[in-house]
Amino acid sequence: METGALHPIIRAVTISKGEKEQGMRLRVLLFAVMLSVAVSGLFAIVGPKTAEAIPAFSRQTEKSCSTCHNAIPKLNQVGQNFRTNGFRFPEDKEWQEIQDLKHVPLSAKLEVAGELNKADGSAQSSLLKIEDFKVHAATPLGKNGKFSGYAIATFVEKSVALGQAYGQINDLIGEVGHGLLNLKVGTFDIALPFLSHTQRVIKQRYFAQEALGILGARNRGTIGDVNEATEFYNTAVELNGQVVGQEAGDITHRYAVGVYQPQGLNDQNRLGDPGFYATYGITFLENFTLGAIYKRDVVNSTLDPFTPNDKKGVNKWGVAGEAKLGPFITTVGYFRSDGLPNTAGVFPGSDTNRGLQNYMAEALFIPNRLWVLGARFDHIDQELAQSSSRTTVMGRYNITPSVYCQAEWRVTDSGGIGVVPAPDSLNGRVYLVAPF
Amino acid sequence: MSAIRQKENMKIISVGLFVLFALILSNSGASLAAERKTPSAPEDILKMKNPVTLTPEVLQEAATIYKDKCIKCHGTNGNGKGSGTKGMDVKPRDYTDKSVMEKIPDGQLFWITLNGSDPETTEMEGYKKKLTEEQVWKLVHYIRSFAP
Repeated sequence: METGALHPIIRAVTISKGEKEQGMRLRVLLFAVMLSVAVSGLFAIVGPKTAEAIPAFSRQTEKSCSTCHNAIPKLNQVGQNFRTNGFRFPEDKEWQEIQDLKHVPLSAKLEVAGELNKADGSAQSSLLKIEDFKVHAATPLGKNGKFSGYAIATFVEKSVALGQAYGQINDLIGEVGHGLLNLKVGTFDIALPFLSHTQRVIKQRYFAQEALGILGARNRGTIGDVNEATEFYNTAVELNGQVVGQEAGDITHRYAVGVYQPQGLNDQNRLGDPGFYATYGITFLENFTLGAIYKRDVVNSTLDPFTPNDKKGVNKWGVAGEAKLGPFITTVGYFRSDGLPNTAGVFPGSDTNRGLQNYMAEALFIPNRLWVLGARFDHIDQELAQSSSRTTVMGRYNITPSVYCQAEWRVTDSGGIGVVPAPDSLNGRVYLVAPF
Repeated sequence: MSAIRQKENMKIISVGLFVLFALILSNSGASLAAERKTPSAPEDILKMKNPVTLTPEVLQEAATIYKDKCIKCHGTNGNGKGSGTKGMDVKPRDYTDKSVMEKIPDGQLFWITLNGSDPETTEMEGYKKKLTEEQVWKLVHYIRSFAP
């Protein structure tokens, strides 16, 4: 019914109700913004001045965050070396001081998020929430740092989820402290050394993760909003390593092969159908990196009459490159996956056996240690079917070296491809991230 | 608004955002090359001469400290191109460059090693908590040995 057809008194009440609701929404939004600013200010005053992305590492090694991160949590070359090498620096003996555990290897991270969502066919919504609270423990152990442990527990929406949790036996061959060959067992991020969902500066997920399951595990979306849910990782056994040249200009190789427990399978006999993966990255001329990843996933396939035991092997692969030129870091990637038949809740419908391909381009601009600007274009298409793309721009201000606030604007042109078929949407996000 | 119209708007917004970002980058990138801003030691420290007598034993001890603490960034040969500097915009000083090293007094090397360099552009942190002053003076001898 049109408002104009109402009795003047009813119309006045209706308008007043509408205005009231709008006023209330504005007040809530204003309150959210003011609260964010107040909390940011508080952290700026009392927050840690020298704490880092994973402050436990910083406290143990007495290094700043920028030693290992271009922008939190993205790792630079030194950070990638440190991680692969079981949280030890390969070229000197700094890491030996960690073994004394003079600092408890524990960190925590609080993330507050404000959301604004506008999607086709839905009313605009906004929200302020504690995104998550993470407790993180990681350290090398033993006289020579022979063993390294890493674990993250995430508290989100009244649930506790175990994130990455693994142990690594270091230096199976080669000189102690160089990480030429290591054995890693547990639940962790299977991705490229320089491109993974745990290293996203732009918090919007990659299609290559959530839809293709190449960079990390596919999103199961069982906790919280399906697009913002806690990350899920693969459980795997991996041999990894690196050859790091002694000088800045020397070539660096990083490699990993492993078997993992596919997430797309039902609960029966997961170990009987293991997945396989291999990754390789090469860094040359100091600032240029190329990488490739291959993953053989296994999924349930009752739709496919040609596969035995209702299972299907799914080949996935991708290549990516990264260049760091002064304050700019640009990354491009191409990822491809066989179709994922009958993966309930992921690609419903009868045309799900078609391959998927994904193109991604991302640029970060880091002019100084206070500001980070970034943009990403992520496009996915299904053979002979729909395509979908996301454009994201972001800006970050570092309140302290580790505490930052970040804003993202996401535009999704959805063709029905994604974790669930989604309408076109505009999404705003504001984060306040405080590790300590 | 029709679905087609909304879709067109989405595309326009996407392209617009990307163009805007590209313009910001292209306009600001050229003038943002990082510059070294090394802080200077206080006058009295700058005038100090190395109080540790140079002997082979001193150099030997300093070489061990250098290997443990410095080699990752300053490099085996002291040229400032260690593996820890990959991708670093401002590299450590090249200790093998005699023309540069002649202009840096012992007191400045000592003070920077203890207190660190410019935190905005470099990763050189102070070693006050990890090394004694005597060890740092020994390191100064070792650093000088790269460009005798």
